[in-house]
Amino acid sequence: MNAVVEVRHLVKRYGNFTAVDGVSFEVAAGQVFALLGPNGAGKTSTIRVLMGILYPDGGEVRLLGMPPQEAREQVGYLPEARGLYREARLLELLVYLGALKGLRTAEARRRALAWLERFGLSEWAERKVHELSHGMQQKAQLVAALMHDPPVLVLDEPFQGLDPVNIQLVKRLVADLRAEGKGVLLSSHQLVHVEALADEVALINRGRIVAQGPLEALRRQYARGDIAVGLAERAPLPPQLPVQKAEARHGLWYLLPEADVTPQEVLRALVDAGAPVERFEVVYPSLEEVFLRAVEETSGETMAGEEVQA
Amino acid sequence: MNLRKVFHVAVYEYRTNFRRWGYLLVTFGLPVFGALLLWGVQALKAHTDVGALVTGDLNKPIALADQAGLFPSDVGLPKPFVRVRDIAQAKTATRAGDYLALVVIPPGYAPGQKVTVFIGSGIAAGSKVLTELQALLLYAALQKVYSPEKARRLAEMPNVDLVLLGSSATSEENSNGRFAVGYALSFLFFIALFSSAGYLLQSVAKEKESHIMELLLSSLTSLELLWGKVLGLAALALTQVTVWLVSMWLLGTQAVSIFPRYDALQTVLAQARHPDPQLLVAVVIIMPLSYLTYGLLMAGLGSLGSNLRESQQFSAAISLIAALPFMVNFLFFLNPNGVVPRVLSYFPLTAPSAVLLRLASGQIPWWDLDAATLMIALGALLSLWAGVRLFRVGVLVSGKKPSWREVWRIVRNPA
Repeated sequence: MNAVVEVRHLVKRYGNFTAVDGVSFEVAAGQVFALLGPNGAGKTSTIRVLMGILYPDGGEVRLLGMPPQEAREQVGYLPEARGLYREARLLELLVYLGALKGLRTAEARRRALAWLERFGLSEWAERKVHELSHGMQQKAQLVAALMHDPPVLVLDEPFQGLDPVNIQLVKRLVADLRAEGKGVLLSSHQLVHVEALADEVALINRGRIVAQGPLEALRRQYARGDIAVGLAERAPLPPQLPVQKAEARHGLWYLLPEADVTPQEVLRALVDAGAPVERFEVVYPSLEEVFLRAVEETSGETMAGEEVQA
Repeated sequence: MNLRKVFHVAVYEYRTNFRRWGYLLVTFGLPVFGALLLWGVQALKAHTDVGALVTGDLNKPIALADQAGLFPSDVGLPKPFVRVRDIAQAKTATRAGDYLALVVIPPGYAPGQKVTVFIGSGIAAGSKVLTELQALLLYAALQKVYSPEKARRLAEMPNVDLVLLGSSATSEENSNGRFAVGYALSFLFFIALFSSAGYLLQSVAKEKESHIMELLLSSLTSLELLWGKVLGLAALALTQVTVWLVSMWLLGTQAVSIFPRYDALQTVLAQARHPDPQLLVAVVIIMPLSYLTYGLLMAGLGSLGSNLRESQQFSAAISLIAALPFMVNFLFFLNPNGVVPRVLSYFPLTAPSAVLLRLASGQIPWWDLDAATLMIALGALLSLWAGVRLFRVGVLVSGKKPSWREVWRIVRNPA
C-alpha cells in the first residue's frame, strides 16, 4: 500500500489525561479513510498532531514519509472549528491562505478564482466574508483546503452546515479527489454520508481504536446474522424454524438464527414449511451499529445516550 | 523558520490594519487637525491677538492694594500696576476680567513677609504677576536710593535665555526647545507603540474568536505567525510615526512663516533639526526594543482569552503600568534625575516612556541612559521568552479564561 498518512502507536497526553492512547492507522493514496468516534474520543487531538499543530507524546506520525511539520504545504485541512476573517474580502483572503501554503500570489489568485467558479462563488469574490451565508463560508474554507492541490486532505466534519445540494457537491468532490489519487482522511458524525464514501474506517473511543478495516468487512464482522423475510399477503411465520428470535416490523419478519445455523438453512426451513417467501435478505449492521457493538465488545460498556460522532 | 511565510503574514497584517478606520483617523487625522488649526490661527491672526486667545490677555493692568504704604500716593506706580483701595471691589473687577490680578500688600509689610495675590484664572497669569511683583518690590527698595526713573530701569526683569548643557562636550540647547521636542516625541511614540501593540492583541484575539487560528496553524508554525504579526505591525507603527514627524515638521515650518517673530517656534524647529544624541538613542534603540517588549507580551496575553474582551482584560494591566510615568510626569519635570524617574526608567515596562520623559525634561548622565537601555533590552528578551511560550499554548486554549496563576504555569512549562 502506498501510504500517504502513517500513524503508529500515537500517544497524546494533557497533564494526567491521555487523549490518544496507542492509535495506529494508515491512509493510502486514492483512499478515503474515515475516523469516527464520540466527542472526546481523541479524534481532534489525533488530527491536530497529524497537522503538526500539536506534538505527540509517543508514537510516530508521517505524512508522505515526512514529519507533519515538514509536510504542511502538502496537506489540505478543513478543521472542525471553522472560521475566516469576517472583515476580509473573500478572494484576498484565499490568496493569503494560498500563499501560506506555498503558492505564488498570482498563482494563488488564479486557482482561487477557478475554485470559486467551481463552487458557484465567483460573484462573491470581492465581497467581505461576513456577507456570505454559512454554507458559502463552508465552501470557501474547502477552497482554502484544496487550492494548493495537496496530495493529502484532512476534512473534519466536511458536511457540517451544508444543505442537501451542497452535501452532494462535497460528496462528488471527495469522490473526484479519490479518483485523482489523493488520500482523504475525513471525520463526520453524519455516518450515512461516511458510509457512502469511506473505503476504510477506524472507530475510536476513549483514545483507542476499537475497530478498523474496510467498511464491508466490518459490517460482516459485526453482523449478528439477522435475516429480513417478507412473506406474501402477510402470511404468518411457520412454527419450528431454527431461530432464537422473531420480530415483525414494517411488514417484514426479522429473524435471529440459532447458533451455528446459516441463513441458507433458515431459507430451506421456510421453503420446506411452505411459507410464501417473497423477500429474503441477510441484514448487515449500519456503521453506527458496528460502532456500538465494537465498543461493547472491547470495553463491555454500552454507548446508550452518547452521540456517536466523528 | 520559514521567512517567506513570515513575510506573507507581515504584509497581510500591515495591509488589513492599515485600512482600519481607527488607524487612518489617528495617523492622518492628527496632521489634518494640526493643519486645520494652523489655517484657523492664520485666519484669526489678521483680526485678533492669537497669543491672547491661548494664554488670555496678559497685558491687562494688575491691581495693587498697598496697605503697607510702600508707595506713597504721590508717587506713580510702574506699569502694569494700578493702585486700588477697596479690596472687595477690586476682587469683583478681577473676577470680571478688568484686572489680570489683585496684589494685596498687608499693613506693616517687611521684605520676606506674606503678600496675597488674587488671580482670575490661568497659570500664565499667575506666572506673569509673580514676575511683575518681584520687579515692583525691587523697585520699591531701589527708589529709596535712586530716582524713580533709575529705580524703575534697574528693577526691570531681564529677558532670560535658559540654556541646557547638552550630552556632548560642546552641545548647548534651549531648554524650552528640548522640552517641546522631547515631550512631543515621548507622547507620539507612546501612542504609536500602544496602538500597534493593541492591534497585535486584537489581531490574535480575533483569530481565536473567529476560529481561523487552527487553519493558520496548519500552514505555518505559531512562531512564524507571531513574528509575522510583530513585524507587520512594527511597520505599521513606523508608518504612523513617519507620517506624524513629517507633518509636524511641515506644520512647524509653516507656523514659523506665519509667526516670524515668535522665538519659541524657531527654537523648537532648531532643536528638531539638531536633536540631542541621547534622544536619537532613545528613538533608534529604545523604541524598537520597547515595541518588542509590549508587542510580544500583548500577543502572548492576547492569545489566552477566547475573545477580544477577555484578551483585553489581560492586557489592561500592562497598559496601566506602561502609562505610569505619564501619570507622575510632574516628578520628571521637577528633576529628571530624581529617584522616581530613575527607578521608572530601569523597570522594563515603564522604561520607554520614562526615558523619553527624562530626556525631555533635561540632560541625564550617559551611564544612566546605558543602564536604562540595558534594562529595556533585558525586558525585551524576557518578553520574547514569555510571549512566545504564552502564544504557543494560548492559541490552542479554548473555554475558560486562564487565571494569572495558570498564565505563570504556562510560561514556566508550556509543553
